[in-house]
Amino acid sequence: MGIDRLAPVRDVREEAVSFETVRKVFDRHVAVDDLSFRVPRGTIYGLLGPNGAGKTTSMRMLMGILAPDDGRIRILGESPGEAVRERIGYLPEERGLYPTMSVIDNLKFFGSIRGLSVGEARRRATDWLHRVRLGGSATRKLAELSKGNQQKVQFVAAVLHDPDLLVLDEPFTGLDPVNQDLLRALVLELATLGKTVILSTHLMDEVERLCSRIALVSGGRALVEGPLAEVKRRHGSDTLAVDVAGDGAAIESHPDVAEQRRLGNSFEVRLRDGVDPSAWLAEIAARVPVTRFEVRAPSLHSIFVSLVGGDAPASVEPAKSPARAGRASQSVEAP
Amino acid sequence: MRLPQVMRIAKREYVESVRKKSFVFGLIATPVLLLMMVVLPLVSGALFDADEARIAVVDPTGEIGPRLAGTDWPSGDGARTRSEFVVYESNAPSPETLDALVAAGEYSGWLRVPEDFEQTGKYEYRSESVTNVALLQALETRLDQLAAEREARRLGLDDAQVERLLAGTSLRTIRLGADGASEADFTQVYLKAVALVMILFFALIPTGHILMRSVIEEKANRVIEVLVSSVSPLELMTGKVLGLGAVGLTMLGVWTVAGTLLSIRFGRALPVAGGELAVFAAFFVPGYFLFAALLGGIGSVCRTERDAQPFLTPISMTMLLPVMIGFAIAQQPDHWLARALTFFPPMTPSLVLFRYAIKPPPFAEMAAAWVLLVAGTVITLIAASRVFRTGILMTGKRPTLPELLRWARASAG
Repeated sequence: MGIDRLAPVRDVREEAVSFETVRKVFDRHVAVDDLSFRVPRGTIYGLLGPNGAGKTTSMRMLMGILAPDDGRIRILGESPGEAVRERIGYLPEERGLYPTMSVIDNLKFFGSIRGLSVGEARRRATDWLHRVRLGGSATRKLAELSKGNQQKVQFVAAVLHDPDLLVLDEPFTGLDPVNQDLLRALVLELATLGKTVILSTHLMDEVERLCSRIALVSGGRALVEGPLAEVKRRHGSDTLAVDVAGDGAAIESHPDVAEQRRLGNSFEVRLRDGVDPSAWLAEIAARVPVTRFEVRAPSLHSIFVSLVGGDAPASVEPAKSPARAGRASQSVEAP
Repeated sequence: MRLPQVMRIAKREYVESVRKKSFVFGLIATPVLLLMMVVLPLVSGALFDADEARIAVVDPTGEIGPRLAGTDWPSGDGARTRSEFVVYESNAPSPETLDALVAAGEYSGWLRVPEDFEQTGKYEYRSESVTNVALLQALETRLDQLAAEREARRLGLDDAQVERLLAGTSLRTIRLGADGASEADFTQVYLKAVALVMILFFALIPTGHILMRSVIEEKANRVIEVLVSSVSPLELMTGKVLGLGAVGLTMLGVWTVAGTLLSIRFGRALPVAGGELAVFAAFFVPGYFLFAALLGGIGSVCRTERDAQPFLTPISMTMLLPVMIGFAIAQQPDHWLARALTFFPPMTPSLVLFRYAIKPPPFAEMAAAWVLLVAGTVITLIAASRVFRTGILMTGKRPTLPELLRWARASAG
């Protein structure tokens, strides 16, 4: 092998991953339809989308588990499959290790089938377990660990063979805040070393914190693709956060409010295009005491909801038709 | 296919299976079970035989009853000597009373000797149980003898002549096997054939089940996704099949060593001939791959073991068929049906082995069956690995048969 742990990536000229008009059909169900996106090397790339959007199918095609029916996929300059398998690390959404085997045996096995010698796999595993604060659990059975700790072992299994491309499917599930910070720091560290990370998650906060580029996938297509800042600029509008002490009817019934959401005395408000927020505030403040007022840049959450439609990302139904993506009450520029 | 990856998967399967308590249990329980299956029928016959029969004989003629109750039965059969006969010549209870006495357990049964028995040769035996073959046969034989003896005396033969006439014949059976002629009787040969098939069964089927279960488990806990992101489905399946095949061989090895040690300890040769071992080995290997491929393929399309259950029974039955129709095969080992079924790959290993133990089929026939088995195994392996490739990633419903066939036909992609 001869690769030092966390060695820099070899070739930085080409994209780490590119999907070009990729299509995958199961029986009559179109799982991925004309999907295109590009992941530059060294980026942390967010792959977002509701359940059933085609993310898992896309990742399986990426891993060479499934073959696309149409279109082209390139990974690290190669086609998916044997040539690049050992250069990819994969953390599946659900736990994917042997529960009855010890932590270290699991890591040795998965390291060795990805090309490490057993000795090298053991050395790296021991090192990594210390980094994720599981040094003392090496000989315990995986099933005896908490869900969060199992998730950390799963992460170690994905990075053990020092892959150039890391595919993480919901990596933060089941982690407490301390371990979320730990994992986030590790992902960022890998990216600074030039590794490419594809992060699929429902946690919009994590995407905003970590990713520089995103693709929002729905109904098997990329609705939005590009740098996060640009996506926000193109697809969002500012939101006002207003807390009032008293009756909120003044806000609810105000003619300039295009959309509002109430949580007790807190409101999230979007004004009609062209309405000046400070003038609006003056009008409201005249009718009810305002205890807080904040102009927020659009959150990825609200962009996601408005593009895909539905209440919350985690429970969104697959968007089957374009009509759903641009619901009437939410005036959003169509992609 | 990358060999190091295959070997690592094989090694993991092997180590994890051999470490399990269930492996040690199977290692010990299987021979015990086998021994019980072979020995119990023999022992139980003797055990149940010891149950004494008490039979009432209603014989107004006074000719038969006393002879049955007498001690001059030809020796050798336990059933005769252990039975007690209560003879009524006159003032016998009514048939209804006797039936009631049988029902009450006073008598095992009662025998009615009709006045005209000499003309008709017909008797009547009434009992709650008419399946105690040994007793009924002994009774019938004894009645035959008494009839013959009476006839002989009527013809005026003297005692010595009568004795010679009634002296039993005996048939000494010598089996002309591939390893030479040896004295053997039905029970010995038949039970050995059954035992050989059972050993084959216990070395093949449980290992196949472990393979199936491991695939189902890996699907359930999603290990499979990580695995197939690192190795190809073909590498994965090959590794599993080889690793668990080694588990089966380990079991056979342990049994062989244990058997040899026991035979040395007790100074008795193992009752298996070299030819039988050769046939066993020749058909075990492709047989294992055939069943492993079948069960691995089934495991890949099932979500739970319960899903897989309906497939298991037919597969096990296919292998055990020779045991089920073994008695018939023992009568006519070369019957066309037995020969035809030998060429059906899933039945080939067990049928060839069974027939070989009963009466070795012609070499050409065994060779042809072997070639067909290997061909069937290769086809099954290819089809199963294709089904496996698609099946392991399926989570929802179980695929339909047409879908399975489509997967099996689809080439690598």
